[in-house]
Amino acid sequence: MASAILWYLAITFAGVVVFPLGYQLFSRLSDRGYGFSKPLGLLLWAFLFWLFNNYQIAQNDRGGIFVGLFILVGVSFWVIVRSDWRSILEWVRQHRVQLIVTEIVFVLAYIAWVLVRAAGPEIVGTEKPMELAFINAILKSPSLPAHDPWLSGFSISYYHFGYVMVAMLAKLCGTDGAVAFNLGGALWFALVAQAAYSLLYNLLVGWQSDRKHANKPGWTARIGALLGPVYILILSNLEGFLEMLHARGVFWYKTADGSLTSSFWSWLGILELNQPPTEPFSWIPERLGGTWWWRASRVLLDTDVLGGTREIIDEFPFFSYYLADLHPHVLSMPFVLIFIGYAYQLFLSGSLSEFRFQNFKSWVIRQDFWVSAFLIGSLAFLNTWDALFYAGLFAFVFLILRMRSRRLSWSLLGETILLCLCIGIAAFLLFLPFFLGFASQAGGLLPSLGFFTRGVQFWVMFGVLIIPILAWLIYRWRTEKGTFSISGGLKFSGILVGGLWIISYLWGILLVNLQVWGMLLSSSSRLDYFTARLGSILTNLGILFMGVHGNPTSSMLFTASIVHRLASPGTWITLLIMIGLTWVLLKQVTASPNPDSLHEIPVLETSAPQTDYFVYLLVFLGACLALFPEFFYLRDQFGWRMNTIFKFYFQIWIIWGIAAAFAVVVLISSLRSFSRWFYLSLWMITAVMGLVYPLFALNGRLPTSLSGFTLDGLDFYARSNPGEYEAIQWLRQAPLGIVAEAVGGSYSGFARVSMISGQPAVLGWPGHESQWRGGNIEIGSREPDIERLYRATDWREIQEILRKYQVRYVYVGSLEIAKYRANASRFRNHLKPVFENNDAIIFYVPEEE
Amino acid sequence: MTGAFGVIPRVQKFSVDRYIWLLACLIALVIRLIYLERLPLTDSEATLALQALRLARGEQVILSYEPAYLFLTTLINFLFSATNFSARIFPALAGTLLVFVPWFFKDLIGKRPAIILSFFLALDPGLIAISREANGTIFAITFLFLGIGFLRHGCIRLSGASLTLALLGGPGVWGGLLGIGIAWGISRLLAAAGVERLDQPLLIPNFKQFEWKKFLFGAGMVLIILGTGFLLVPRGINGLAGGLPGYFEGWSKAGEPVTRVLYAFLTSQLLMLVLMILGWIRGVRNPDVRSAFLTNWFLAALILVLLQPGRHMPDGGWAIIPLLTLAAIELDRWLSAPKSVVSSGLAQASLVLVLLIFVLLNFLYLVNIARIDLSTFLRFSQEEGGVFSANVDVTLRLVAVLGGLLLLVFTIFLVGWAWSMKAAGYGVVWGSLTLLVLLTLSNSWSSTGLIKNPQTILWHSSPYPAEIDLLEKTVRDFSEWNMTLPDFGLVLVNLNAPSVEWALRDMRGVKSSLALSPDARPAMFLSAENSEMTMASYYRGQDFTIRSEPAWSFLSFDEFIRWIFYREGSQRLQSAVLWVRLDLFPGESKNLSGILP
Repeated sequence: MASAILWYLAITFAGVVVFPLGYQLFSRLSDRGYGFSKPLGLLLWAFLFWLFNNYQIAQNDRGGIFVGLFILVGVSFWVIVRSDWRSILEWVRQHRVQLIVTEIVFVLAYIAWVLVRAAGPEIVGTEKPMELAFINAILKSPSLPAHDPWLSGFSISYYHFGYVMVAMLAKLCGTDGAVAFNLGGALWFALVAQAAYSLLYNLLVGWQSDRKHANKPGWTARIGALLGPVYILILSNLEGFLEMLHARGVFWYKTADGSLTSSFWSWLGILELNQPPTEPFSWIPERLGGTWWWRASRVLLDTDVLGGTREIIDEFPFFSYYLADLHPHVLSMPFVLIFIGYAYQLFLSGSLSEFRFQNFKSWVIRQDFWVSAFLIGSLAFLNTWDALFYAGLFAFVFLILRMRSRRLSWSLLGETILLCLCIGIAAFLLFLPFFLGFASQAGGLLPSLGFFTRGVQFWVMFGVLIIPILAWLIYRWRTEKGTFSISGGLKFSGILVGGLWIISYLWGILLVNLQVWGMLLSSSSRLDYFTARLGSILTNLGILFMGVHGNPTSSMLFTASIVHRLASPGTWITLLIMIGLTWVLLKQVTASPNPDSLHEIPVLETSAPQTDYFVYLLVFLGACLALFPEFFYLRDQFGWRMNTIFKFYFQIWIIWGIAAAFAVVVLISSLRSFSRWFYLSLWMITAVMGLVYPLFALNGRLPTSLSGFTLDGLDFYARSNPGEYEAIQWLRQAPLGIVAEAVGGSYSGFARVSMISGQPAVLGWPGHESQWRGGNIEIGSREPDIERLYRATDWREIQEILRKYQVRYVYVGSLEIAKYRANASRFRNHLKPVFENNDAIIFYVPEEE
Repeated sequence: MTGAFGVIPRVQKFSVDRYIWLLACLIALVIRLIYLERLPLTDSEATLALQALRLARGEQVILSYEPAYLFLTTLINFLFSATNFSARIFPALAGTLLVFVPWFFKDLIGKRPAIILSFFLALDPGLIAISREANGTIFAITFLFLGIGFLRHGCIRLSGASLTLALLGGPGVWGGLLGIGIAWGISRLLAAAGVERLDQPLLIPNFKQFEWKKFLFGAGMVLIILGTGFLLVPRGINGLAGGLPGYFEGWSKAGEPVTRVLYAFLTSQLLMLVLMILGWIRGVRNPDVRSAFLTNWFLAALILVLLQPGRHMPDGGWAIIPLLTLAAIELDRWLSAPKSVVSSGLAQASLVLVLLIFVLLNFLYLVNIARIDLSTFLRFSQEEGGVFSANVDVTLRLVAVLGGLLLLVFTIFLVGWAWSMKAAGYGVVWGSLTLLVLLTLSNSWSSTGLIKNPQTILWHSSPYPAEIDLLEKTVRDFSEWNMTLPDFGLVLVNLNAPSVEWALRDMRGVKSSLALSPDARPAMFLSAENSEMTMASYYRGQDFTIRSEPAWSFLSFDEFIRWIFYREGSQRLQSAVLWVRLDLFPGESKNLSGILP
């Protein structure tokens, strides 16, 4: 637990150091970015550490970490010297209550999640081994970019900034990688809690200020802001509630033959829940021989036109933290919230609207340009998809600010694209070393013809958030004094939904015909190499695309797609309404058309309800993100929407989570008498339904005694495999060298030596390597070569493989024996064992002349 | 005069004072440079020297947190060649510069104490040993105080440059700064409590009017030029920042034992400690803010070294500076005797000196020649017959010691009664101090390492590589005898011994390996004792002591006394075995069929 305290001190120090910077950056926010200071400090610190390492200005050691810290301290000191430090102190004194509350939120969240992690710290299953392997590889690498732990000779090709941060803190505090893994989970949970609290607090103060023209924040905002972390981190989708009903046998009926049947659960279409529950019934969800809480992340089920099903990932924050995978989408969360906070700052300051084609040069030297670029670039390095989503938010903020002085037009859209392009280039330059070594697995956009989200599943997923948001939108629509009608909004959303639908079908027609065109090209009379190759590629693409959809005929594909969508309109109708409402509300900000308005300074009157508009933007962005994968998805190794939905829906949860929490506080504060009680009841019912999942999940992890509490994620391994653990620990402190160990499939126990020791293996999980590198070129024949290494009896063959991969350590343990029947005596005649016990032997391969 | 680095005080007439400063500098330079290359580099020295050598060769190196030392040594390695001398020259020069530090503080401590302090700094055994070691600690010490000195004299750019050099000196600077900070804090607290009154700021400049740009210019120049290895190794900046965590890492790992630090201070700083105590006694009657600050500083620095588990001996240098300053101030007072007591005091001092030497020589005879067990001696164990009955000579020597002491007391009483107690007092102090000065000078010479048992020097930061020269010569001989052998080479097998690597730095085919293959037959390999015995049939082995240091934890009292005066005592040794393939010996068959697999 000493490590937990050290981590707290380190992150607090980072926050304190960077606060003067945040004070300037978030000048329009009520808490001056105090709630973001910890993640912002960590972000800047890790960026400097990583950047200087990549440019060989610092080493991957504590010295390098302190280079970053010294620069950060220097910049902060410079900011203090330049600004009036007395005013900062005075501000702190005046807002001390708020700062203390914000700090309490962090500490409570941190302690709570340290305890949760300590109750179940095992780094086993899912992608946890991969994440620990990254952390240990970064810790072991003498410089950055770190070596790939599972593909010797290469650097990590993954958006791994989050792991750099965790490893940096681990190195700074002298924490073991396996402990750092769990502390990282707890720290990120607390960072998100604090950032969410701060963001919602600022929005609520902004809203109060808009309404009451009062500057002094009250306890409504302070208490109400607690819903920020609750909505983002705790509340879960309704699958947990359904699990409870399912376990109790609700809606199940016994047939004559005694078997259970339910049309409700069949209609719901959630796997496992469509199977009868085990008797005796209970209110407590359980799954014999399985894990009931897993299903909440697999609510959606895509079905192709022929009825084949595809599993879809639909994680939400509580699930991710509970699962405790330290995955990029989790690691990026605090920084996503910083970006949203900064977008709100830009929205309030109005500075973005000054961007013009004409004064482009003056714009690129502005602080807000580079801060935006930095934040977007960091999101790309943290979780690449996020950069696109939040560049979208940035573009929306710009558009809405510009729409105050002019109408939406093609030229305005052009300006928006240009600005985003400039920001993108700046972000690319700031994070150049990452982008140069990164191979994306995304292979373009594919039309989602047969796959879409059924309305009921969409509501199970987001109902907890949609209900308060829709209630608030309707309330705002009814109370808005402007002269507008809902039909305008519906027209816009209709065009948007219909447009996407049509484009996806046109794109689909093109892809469906690829097969035919490819074959035509291949059979061309003037056949040369390139024509034949192109024909072959097109044919393969066409076959692949049709294969993903279950190999129907083209006419069947389109007909079935249209019929199914029209038969299950829940999702797109929900989104159509949300987009229509938000659009019509957002349109209120648009000024009367004035050709001369290009030269106006578009700052809203302070009495205008600015915060509402920003929240509309968030809702609008979330709805757009939900709408997009209804018609398109990104082509990756999986071939269908699995990853697209995962990445999109997770961000929707964050964005709508903030909007929903805001909506709840605003409605409870605004509504009176019956409508207030009605809304309160509705909200409480949905909130309780959303709380069922975390309550049962946490209950399942309650330990019987405190004796098993540990943060060491490999404690279980040390106890279950003491011999191998000892051997790998030896390897961990040994000089850096390539390890040969057994190769096995993803999510398995293979690659454990490189994972724990941080030494690079010849090959780890081949499937994941293939994903990260967008193919198997780099992997080559490593897997069969390793098999030959352990099976061969001829020393020259072994020696050839050892030379080829420059192997320094050959590990012979349980998996090598089980998979390859490895015999240590084959190595013993030619290599010296440098570590040996009953369970494992490590042979050292001396360097050759 | 205004130079590029700020306002440098005008050089006035070359007075006698300046010749004295130069003399101190000359002494410091000579004693730091004399036979600088003779002792082989220890492991800690060799670790840094090897980094500098590899940098000069353009190899990739993970840098230690002492960039000032590393890059200056790299430069000299690049220009000339890598020798023990080149590895130690810059610390020696930096240690010499320390002599000038008192000049910047003479307004605070007085002109004459400043001159005395310069000689102390030139001849202090601890500082000599630290200056003759290949590491950056002395850079940190010298340039920190020079930087503060420049700051006090308004040379802002030079101050920035010096303080940056200090930071580039290594982690030790943070311990030094912490000690000063604690002392300053205590002084402020005492001042606030009304116990002490700080009449003038001792170290802290006026930040409001501080010329930051000039300061940052100086600092930036040094950082860019030296901190980045003359722009060739930008990672050097890592070393500047790494000093702070490097210092704190010392709080979480083991280092030298506390007793070693205490022994070092008790033996090499005896004169200074006596003077400091005399100063304290004087301070009881006449409190002095300046001495109080220096005392706080000394105690803070010493306690920090003692408390830090990962203590290094050179870190004790931070406590030596305030100790020497206190001693210089006190010695100046004792040298400022009234004219009336000079002649009688000198006479008394001569007597005291003669008697003390007489007592000491007899005492040493007991300890060293007769080799009596001092613990038995001190207990006067009559049951076993005691020391008196053991040997007539011993008895006589014991009587001489006790008689000499009695005579000493008697002469003091006589002089005090016949002339004055003041003269007697001065005489006792002068006589005793003279003896201590002689002992200190002896220590100073010893600390150069140019003595019979250099492994007994307390201030060295790692064990002495005793037989490294012999090892090197043996390897070289085999190399020469087998010039034509294509696979000639030496493998260091699982042996972390940078001193060996350094000694063999220009040998062909030297490499390290964690282990040897069972079928490998390198020409030579060096491994830890008793390992690799399986290959003994193809090789002939010879062990060499690669590390030797006094066994401090096992040292008895009489051994300690013997160590003080004769530098003798039990040693803790670590050996490595050099295995040479049979065919490499002169006259042996070159037929390898029975050897090579």
